[in-house]
Parts: sequence; structure tokens; C-alpha cells
Amino acid sequence: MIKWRWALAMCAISGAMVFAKEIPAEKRIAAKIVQSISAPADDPMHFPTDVAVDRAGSIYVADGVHDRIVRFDQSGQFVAAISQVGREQLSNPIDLCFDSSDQLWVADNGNHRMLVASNGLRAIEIIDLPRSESPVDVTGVAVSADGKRTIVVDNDHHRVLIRDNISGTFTTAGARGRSLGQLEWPFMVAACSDGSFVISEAIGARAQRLDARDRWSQSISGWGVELGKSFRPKGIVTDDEDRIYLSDSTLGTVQVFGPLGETLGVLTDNTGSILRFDHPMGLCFDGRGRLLVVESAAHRVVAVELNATFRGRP
Amino acid sequence: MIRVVALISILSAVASASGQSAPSQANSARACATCHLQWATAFGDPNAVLLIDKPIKAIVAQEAVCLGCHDGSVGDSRRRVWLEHGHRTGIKPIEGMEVPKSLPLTDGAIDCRTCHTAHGGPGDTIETIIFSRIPNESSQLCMACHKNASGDTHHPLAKMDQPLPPSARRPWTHDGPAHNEVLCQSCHTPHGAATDQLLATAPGDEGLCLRCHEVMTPNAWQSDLAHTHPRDAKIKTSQQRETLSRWEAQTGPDDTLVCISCHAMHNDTSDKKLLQNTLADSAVCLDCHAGFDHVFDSSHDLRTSAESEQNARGQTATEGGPCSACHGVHEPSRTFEPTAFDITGSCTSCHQKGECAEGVGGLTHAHPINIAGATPQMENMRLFAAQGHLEADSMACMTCHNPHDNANDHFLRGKPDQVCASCHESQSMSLAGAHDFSKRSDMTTASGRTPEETGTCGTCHGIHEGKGPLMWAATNTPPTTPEDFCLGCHQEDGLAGEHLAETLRHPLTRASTASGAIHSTTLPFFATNCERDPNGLMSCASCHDPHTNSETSPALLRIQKGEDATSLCFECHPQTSPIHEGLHAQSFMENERVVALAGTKPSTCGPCHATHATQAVDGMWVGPRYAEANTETARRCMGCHGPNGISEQHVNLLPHPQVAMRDPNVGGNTAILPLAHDGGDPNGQIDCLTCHEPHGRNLTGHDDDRPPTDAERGAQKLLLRSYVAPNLCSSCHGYEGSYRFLNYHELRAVRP
Repeated sequence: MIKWRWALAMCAISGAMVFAKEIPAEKRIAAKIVQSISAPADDPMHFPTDVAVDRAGSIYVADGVHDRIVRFDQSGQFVAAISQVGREQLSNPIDLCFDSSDQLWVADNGNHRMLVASNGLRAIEIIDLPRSESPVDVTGVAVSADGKRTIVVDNDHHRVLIRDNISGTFTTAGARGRSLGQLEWPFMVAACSDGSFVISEAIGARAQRLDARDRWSQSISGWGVELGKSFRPKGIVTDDEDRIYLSDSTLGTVQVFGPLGETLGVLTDNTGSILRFDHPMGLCFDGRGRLLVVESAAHRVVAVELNATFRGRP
Repeated sequence: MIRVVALISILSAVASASGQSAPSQANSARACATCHLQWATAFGDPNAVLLIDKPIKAIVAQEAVCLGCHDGSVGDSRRRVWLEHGHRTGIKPIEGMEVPKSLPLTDGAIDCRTCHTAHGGPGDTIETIIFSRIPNESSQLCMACHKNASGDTHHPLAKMDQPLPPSARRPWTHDGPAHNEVLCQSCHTPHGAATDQLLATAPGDEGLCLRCHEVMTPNAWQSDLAHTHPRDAKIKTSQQRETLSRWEAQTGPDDTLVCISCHAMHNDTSDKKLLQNTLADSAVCLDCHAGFDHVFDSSHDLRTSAESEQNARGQTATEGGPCSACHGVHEPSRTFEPTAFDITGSCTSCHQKGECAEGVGGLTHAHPINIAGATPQMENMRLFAAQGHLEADSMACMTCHNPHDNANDHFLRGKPDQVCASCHESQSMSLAGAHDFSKRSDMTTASGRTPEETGTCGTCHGIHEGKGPLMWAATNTPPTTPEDFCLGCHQEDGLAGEHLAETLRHPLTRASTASGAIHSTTLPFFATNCERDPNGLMSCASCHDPHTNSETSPALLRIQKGEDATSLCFECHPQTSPIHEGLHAQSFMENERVVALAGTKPSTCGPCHATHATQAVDGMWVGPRYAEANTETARRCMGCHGPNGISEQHVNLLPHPQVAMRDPNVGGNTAILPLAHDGGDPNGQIDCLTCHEPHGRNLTGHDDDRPPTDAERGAQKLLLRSYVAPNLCSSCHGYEGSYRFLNYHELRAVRP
């Protein structure tokens, strides 16, 4: 029922409209949905937000509405619904990422904390987050390739928390606004190979780069509905070449930007039309270089094969 | 993120695309287009490579647009709005509901924008814009459509004298800025509700009510408070289920009662008690507890019997309903203090001095209270746990009385005898014949009541007015001995004066033989306090059962119809039972002379012994005597077997020569050839009993378990004692005679 209702809604947005100018061929990034990954019909996910893949290829999806993480094997078969990590009960987990040590970092939003699970989710570290006037609204987490820094997105407070993983201390960066270094509802974050991080802003309608020295160095995309712009950017991920993949839940697109912020294109189908996703949110690459896209309104994850130029890393 | 309710902005006051126009200033363009996608400036640029085509109509109020922010990226309403219960959309207002024009519908149906807009107030940022079209701090938005949801028949919406307790505040609910207002949103939430009723918590969560009401009226609903309605009671009957369904009421977990099972927040028919039905005539009670209206118009309907009597709430029965006189749902209706014979205190709260029913009942209670182990058989008849007792082992008024049912006098659970029979079935239900006094209108008890009033049992036993042992009620003089129970009536001028028994000749002892030996018996013995006691003494009721049917058990003896009355004798005197095997058997006694002597067909024991007899000799002997005989035994035997005796012709009596004998058995075993002793002579002499046993001899029980020989059978018939072969005479005069002679014969006899 919910799916049917959303289908109608998306039709109203993207179907009944004035015809748009075609995507230039050089901006088309051929892509194909090759797999749909869903939880069992009798216990489905609802509005999942993010996805992550471990070294073994297992797929973890944040099903925060149900206060759980849903695990699938590398073939996409349902394995388990995890409501508790170690002895810790999850509350609206909203973002996930694996670090270079294959530890799972969980943005445990409802508990306003981070959890770090290792050893097959059997060991757990709780990272309490420094609060300001109100608890941290953690919606995104990413760990640098060297494992020394973690960026935690504090959505409500329009800032990010930078954790020195050696000392465990936090600093903050960002404040509300639209200038470089200012944020409007930052949502998710991805790590780059040079030690920098890129952060999506849902209302700021862009991504910003925080470099390895904690300086705001780049604004990527910007508000709009045309190619290279964003309306509701949500999920963000980088590939081996530090290209930035940015999903947009309202436009239903995934666009790709270069390390310098240039627009590389948008995912299109084999006809050259924009490949639409149903409220796309979290992104990640699996071990086969496929882009996993959380279709939140479809309550599933889809695996997308990209052309050979765009192959990611898990 | 949860705090960010604001962005919700997506809701437009504009009803259609034709009515919308894009803002002219660039700065406002992005702010507006954040929600109004179609106003994005790129749609006006013919060279723009659009990622999405311009919508042909406004989409701002569509759910997909709302989700664009409320998916966790700005606010997180996924669970609350899209998964859990929320105010219905897409439906047309119900008939009679007038939706003001300021709350626009979409195609006549309720939509998000009906209630929400980003343009309803003075705010101009996401944080400060007013989300609702109408401020709702006093439930104005709710009331704009639900006009009939407040007023006299609804839970009051008002400021309170004190803030609602913090514990009363539930997620998504509101109680005004000072937390002291009861609003629609105090209980309901339009999104994220637990049920279709949009309650903030599940209906089974009594906390929805109790979080406030336990503060306002502490202990208003305790789980185990006696004399109040059980809390969390499970719905038991189909009638209760139907009632709750008709009321459209809610139940709690596991089908249990909760506040809103009985209380209706929006359909009060009970004069501001918010009850599902009125208290008048206790209608709300009877909806679930049908049948209890039997109490109406009885003396337990205080509307007529005690009009001014008030319960603990100060209500008369007319005001609170007849049930309220005794029953309080949330607190006891009266002060229930246990008394000695009403351990519940329920009945004595009225039926005692100084209370409204002091003139009725308040009687003492003669029946034992603690009756552990008893199991009343009558339906709904139950025992109660006295204070300090774990088990329900005590009687109370309501064991026998049903205050809700006046079908029987005094609210008894049945006819008086039926009530008694519930526990005393063997006594009450078998009572018939002579002791069935139910038709004896001429009889009255000590209190002047007829059997018709008291029931048959009540003629002798009074539950309330009984005095002395066994709740004696028949006469003013309580029994002091077990025999008094019978003699109290069976005496001249007594209630049973026409049924006087002859003089009791049987001794009232426990011994069943002359030597004092006691045989086991199933017949009851009685203690001096008149209670049954296996170690007690024999009494009238040992042989007579006053509760039996005299038509089947003559003289109320503990025998069945047609059974020889002397079977009772054998109960205590089993050693006499071989009498049936000899010439004293009843079959031999039924000759004309014996019948003529007895005046009737005699029983086995009857020709010689009588338990009751006007004239008797030596206790119970009523047979003929031959006065010329030397010993009393001989006088008794020869009464029949002597000259002119009824058996003279059957017995050729040859008296044994009298020889002075020395009795080695005196004071010891009398089993072997006993001598008679008269006048205190320690030596005695040979008489009838030396050789004969008038009650016969038991041939069974040989040590070697062999069957009796023919000789023994022959001797048994002749009532001869055990002897040494070849015959009885040879016991003394045969082979063994020499040493027996030495033992038996007195010296003076052998040494003149």
C-alpha cells in the first residue's frame, strides 16, 4: 500500500511535467540496476537510510524506524535483523560505515551516540558525544582511511564533530549558514583518500569538503534542479579516484562529481534517460564495485552496475 | 532532528497551481522553492539541463515532498507519520462536520495542508514558522472541525490549578506552556499515535489516565483493594464482551479492563462521570453484570428501604444507583469492618446497631465460622479467608445468603434445607418421616418459628439463634448431654411427647462385653460436649439417626428397611453373632410360643434382651425366668427350658449334679467351662453356661485355618462350648478328667 502510494507521488513529481532538455551524452554515466535487496515480506524494512558493506561482502542496512540494522549476505539474501549490538540496544540507527579495520561505526541517532562494533558485532565500543545545548543529532559518520579521524555529523546543530581517534577528543567545525564552512542540515559524510571528508547538506543543497587539516576547502554542487545542482542531497560516497557520488531524494538522482568539484555527470539508463531512484539516500560500493543505493521510499537497497570508468571500492 | 518540526513547511495555502505564483525576488525564490519545487528558477531557463521536469501542478502538499525533509535528514517523522497511526487523510469530513474555509481540503478531502502550512503565522524561518494553519495551543485547530468534541459530555478541557505531573507528559502530547492545561493533545496526537483513536499511548496503557488522575486523586485505582472493582479484571463473559463492543470501549492487554473500558471520554451519558452508561438504576453496572437487578425492589434496594443512606461518596442509592450502596468501584462504598461472624464486614456494615439495617438481622451466629476442609456444593456458595488465613476456610454471611437475590426468604441462596444440604447433604437430604417436621405447623421452635419458616433442619438447629451444642433451637433449654437432644422432645409434655420411648436399659458405656472389652464399631459415640467422639460414650444417636428416614429405618434406627434391628447389636457385640448357627437362631425362635411370649415376631436378640423396656431384670433381660434355679444364669435359661417353659418339650433337661468346684478362671480367662458364682462365692458351681454358650460359638478362626468338623458343627448347633474330643463330657470325665478333676474339684468336695 505504501509503495503504491509513493509510486503515485513520484509520478506526480517526475512524470507529469514539461519535457526537459536531454542530458548531454558526456554527462551520462551509464548505469543499470542489477539487484534489489529487501528484507522478508513479513518483516520488511521501512524507510531505510544507509548501507555499508564489510570486507566479507556482507551488507548492512540501517532500518532506523525499527531500531535495527538488517544484515544480508554478499548475495543479498537476508541474514538477520540486529536490534542489539553487544549488550547495547539500538535506537534509530541512521548511518553506517566500515573503517579500514573492518569495524562497523553506527550513528545510533536515538541514543545520541556512536557505537563501534568489531569482531562480527560481538565487541562493542560506545562513544558518547559531546552535547551542546541539546544532545547531538548524529546522522552521519565516516572514518579516515588511516583510522585516525572520525567525522560525526550533528544535523540539528549544523556542524560536524571531529574525533581524534588516538586521544578520543572531539573538536567541532561548522555553524549554520550558507557560506563556505557553514552548514544547513548536514546529513551524511564520506571519507576521501587524501584524509579529507565530504559532507552532504540536505537543506544547504550541496556538499562541502573538510580537508585533512580540518579546514573547509571546497563547496560542491549547489541549490537547483539542473545538472550539477542539488535539491535534497542525502547520501554521499567516494570511489577509488575520490569521485563523489551524491544522491538526491527529491530529484531521484545520483550525480557524480570530480575531486575538484566538477560535475562528471548523472547516472542514466541505457536510453540515456536519468536513472531514477525512489527517494535515494545512503550510498556505498560493494566488493564487486557495484554502487549500492538505498531506495528509502521503496524500503529496499538496489545494486547498480556502472560503466567501467566508474568502479568503486567497498 | 526531532525538534525540527518546522520544515514541514511544505504545506501550501494555495489550492492549485493556477493560484500560485513564483516569488519575484531572488533571495526569496530559493526559500520558497525549498518546498515549492515548481518555483525553482532553473525551470524558467530554456538552456538549463534539468534533472527533473517542472511539475504541471503544485506538489508542495504531497507526501513525497514532506518526506524529502522528514526522512531523517532534517526532521525524522518516518515512524510517526508514515508508519504509525495518524490523522486520516484522503477522506471526506463526516456528515455534519463543518470544516472552516480557512482549513482547505483537497478535492473535498482532508489532506496534510488542511491543517498544516508554513505560512500561518509571523515566523519567517524554518524554526519560527507556524506549522499549523491555526494556533493550536488551546486545541483551537482540533476544535475547528471537532466542534462537538468538547462540552458537558466530554472530558473537560481546562486549565488546572496545578501543572500536570511530569510523568503525565507523553511524547507528542501537549499541556500548554505552563503544563497546566488539559488539551485535546494531552491525550491525542495527530501523528504517531498508538491507535486509530490517535491516543498518545496504547489504550491498554492506563497511564494515559492515571498519570494525571493518580496525582489528582491518589490511590483512586488500586489493584488489590478489597470491596472495590478489581483492577485489570479480565473480561469473562460474552455479555461483557458484547457490552464493550456496543460501547466501542477499549480493553487492555490480555483482554483486561482499563479506565476507558468503563469511561467514555467523549460520550458521557452519566452526568459528568464520563461513564459509558448512566448510574441511574445502575445501568452502567448491569451492562456487564446482568441479573443483579434482582436486588431491585427488595429490601437491599436502598432507594426504597433506606432512602437517605449515603455511601462513602455521599451518594444516596438514588443518586449513585442501587449498586453504589454497597459497591464502590474506586473506593469502598462503606466502612467494612470484620466482625466475629462476618469476616468480610460486608453485611454487618449495615446489619448492626447504629446502621441503617440494625432492625434486620444483626443476629448472633451459632454456626462454626472456621470450617476448614468443607466444600459447599451449591453454586456460588463459597467460603472466605479470615484475616491471617491464606485459605478460604471460613463462613461468612454471604456463604449462605446472596444479597442480590431475594427469591428465597432472607436472601438465602436456596430453601433453608437446601442451604444446609449444601454442606450437610447426608443429614439434610435423607431426613424424612418422623423427623420431617415440615408439615408440622403445630410445632414451633424456641424462638416461636414454625418448620415452614425455619426448614426442617431449623426446627432443631438455629444458625443464628441456636443455643448450646449443635446450635440447638428446638427448645429453650439447651442440651447438656448427648441424650438431651432426644429427651428434650421425647418427654412428657415435650414436642415429641406422643413418642415416648420405654426406659432405656442399655448401658451408655463404651464397653461391649461384661469384662469391659471394647469392640470396634461404626456406630458413633459422643463426648460430653455432644460432639461425635470415637472415644466418647454411647448415646441415643449411637443407634438412632435423627436425620434418617423413619419410613425406611424404623424408629430411626441406623438400619435399612427390612433389616433385622439386631444387626445393630452385632455392630458392638460381634461375638454374639454365631447365634444364627445354633438352636437360638431366629428361625427356631419363630414358633408360636415364642411369638405368643413376645407378643410379636421376635428379633434374634429380642426374646431375651431389650434396649428399651419398661420392665426388665438385671439390665436388659426381658425373657422368662425360672425362680427355682440355683443360679441367675440357670434361672434365665430355665425360664424357657425349665418346667412349663416354652422350650421344655424341646430340651430334656438333666441337671448336672451340683458339685462344689474351684474356679481357676475367676478373674481371668472365662473361655473354658466357666462356673457360676452366686453370693460372692469364689469357687462357684456348674450351671448352664458351664457347658453352653447361648449366643453360639464362632467356628472360624482356627489357628490352622481348617474348616470346622461335623462334630464341631453339631456342637455349635447345640450351643455347646468348645470341648475336648470325643465330647463335652469327656472334657472333665474322659482322658483328661483326672487332672481337670484335680484342678476343678474343691478340696471340701474330695475331703469331706
